[in-house]
Amino acid sequence: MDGATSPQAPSGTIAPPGPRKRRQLGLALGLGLALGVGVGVALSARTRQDDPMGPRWRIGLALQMGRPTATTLNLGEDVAQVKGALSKEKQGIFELVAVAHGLGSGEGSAQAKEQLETACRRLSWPRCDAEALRALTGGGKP
Amino acid sequence: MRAKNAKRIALWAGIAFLLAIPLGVGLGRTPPRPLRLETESLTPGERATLAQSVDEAVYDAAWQLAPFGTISSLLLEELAQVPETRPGRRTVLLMRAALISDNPEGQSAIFSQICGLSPALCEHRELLVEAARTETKLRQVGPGNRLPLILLGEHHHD
Repeated sequence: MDGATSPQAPSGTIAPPGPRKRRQLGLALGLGLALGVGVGVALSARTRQDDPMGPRWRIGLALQMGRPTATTLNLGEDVAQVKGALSKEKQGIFELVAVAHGLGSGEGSAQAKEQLETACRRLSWPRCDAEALRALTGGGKP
Repeated sequence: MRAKNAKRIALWAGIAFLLAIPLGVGLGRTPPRPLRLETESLTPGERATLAQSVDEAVYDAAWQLAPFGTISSLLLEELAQVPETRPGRRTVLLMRAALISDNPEGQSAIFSQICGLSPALCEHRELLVEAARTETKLRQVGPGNRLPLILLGEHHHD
C-alpha cells in the first residue's frame, strides 16, 4: 500500500478537518455561543426582577434618610414609578414632596428651590413662597 | 460516518452553549437600583411601614400647604385607610380635622373621639393643647393654622 496517495492520516494522529467540516463546526460553535449568551442574559434579567412594591419601599426609606443623603441616591426612576401609581390629585403633591426631599435628582440648591416653587405653583395652592416652602423641606415656621 | 460527524458537532455546540451561559449572565448584569438591597433585607412589616410612609409624606405635605377643599378630602381619605392599630396617626388626623372645622360642636365631637383614642392626651389638658399647637405650627395656611377657641378657653368639653 502506498501511504503517499492515501487521504487517511497516519494512525495515531488526528486529521485536520476539511473546509466543509470546519464550516459546520464553526456554525455549531456560533450557534451554541449565541444560545448560551441568550440564556445567560435571560437568567440574569430574571434574578434582578424587582418587586412591584420595590420603588415605594425605596422612596419610603429615602424619605426617612432625608436630605442630604437622599439627594445623592439618584432615585429618579423610582420617583416616576411611585408617582405614576398615585391618583391624579396626589401626583402633584408627591412631586412636591420628592423635590422637597431631594429625591430623584442631585441638583444644586438654587435649582432645587426653583423646582420646588414650580411644583407648588402647579398645584395652585394658596402659598408657594419661600417661607412656606421652607416648612416642607424641614425648616418649619420661623 | 455522518452520524459520528453530527455527534461531534452537537458536542461542540453543547460545550459552546454551556461556556457562553456565564458570559451572558455577566453581560446581562446591571448594578441594582439604589437602596434595593437595603429594602429587600427588611422584614415584611418594616417594608409595609416604608410603603405607608410615602402616603403619609403626601398627606403631611398637603396638611402644610393645601387649601381647605384639598385637605378635607385627603383627611377623609387617609382616615379611611389608617387602621385602628395605629391610634397615634388616627389621633393626628382627627386633630387636623378638628382644627380645620369651623363648627365648635363638630370640633367638640372630634375632640371626644380623640380622647377615646388617646386617653392620656385628655388626662392633662395641656397635652391636648400642645398636640393641637404642633399641628397648627406645621400648617402654613388657614384654616387650621390657629388654635380653635375651644382649646383656648379654660374648660375643655369632652
